[in-house]
Amino acid sequence: MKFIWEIRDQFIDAAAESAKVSALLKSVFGDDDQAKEIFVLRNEGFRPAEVQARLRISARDYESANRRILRKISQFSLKTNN
Amino acid sequence: MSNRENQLKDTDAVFRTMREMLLEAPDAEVDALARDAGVDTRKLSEIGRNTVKSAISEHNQNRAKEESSVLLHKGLNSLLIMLRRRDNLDESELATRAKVEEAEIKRIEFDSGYLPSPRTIYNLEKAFALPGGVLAKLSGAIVHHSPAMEERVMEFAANAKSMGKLSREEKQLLNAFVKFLTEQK
Repeated sequence: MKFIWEIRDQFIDAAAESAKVSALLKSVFGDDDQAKEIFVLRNEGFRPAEVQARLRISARDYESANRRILRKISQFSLKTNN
Repeated sequence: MSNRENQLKDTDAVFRTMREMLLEAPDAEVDALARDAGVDTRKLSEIGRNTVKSAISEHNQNRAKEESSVLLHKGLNSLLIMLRRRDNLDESELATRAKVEEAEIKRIEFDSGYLPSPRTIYNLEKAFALPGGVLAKLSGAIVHHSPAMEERVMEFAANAKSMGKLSREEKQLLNAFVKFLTEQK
């Protein structure tokens, strides 16, 4: 029985952490799904050119999204520091 | 999208990626972000350069202080051994005469990082009938000293031997060194 309880606890922990991650991403990127998607891919280790290929976007679109990401991170950082 | 989000294991990973993306951002982009945030990047980089400069200078000063204190301690080791030889005492006899632990005498003579207590230094000066402060100047208790003193200590330590009876030259070397230390402010 103890084994089943442990699995349940791990599941609850993982679910709680996942909810925290989602809330954090929402807080930083809002409804900008493209920025969020690029950010997650960068987190997974994909390089800019690989992200472009996976999402089938041009270099220009990537740069524009990247600028939005940097601004949103900067704004989030200022908001949380103040 | 939510499947991708699930790949982010924890909030630490999110912050790590934020930091990495900011670090690899082009300079022009960083400047623009700083302007938006009301930060003067020139001033910030000047503060950064000054911080690095003062950190390097502090590090060099500390290193010089450490090297100098090890050198002075070598002078103290050598002087103590020479004084023991002059008075024909072993460590145990000196410990009894100066009312300090024999282990402490051995530590002063062999451990260049050991800082003897003021009481030990005072008792040793009395045991060898030295003018007050002669050993203290080598013990690290007095921090300020001149390059001339360091040179003299190095010369004394290099010429001091640790075995046997003192020769006439060694006696002269010892007396001159004690006189020099006495005259040092």
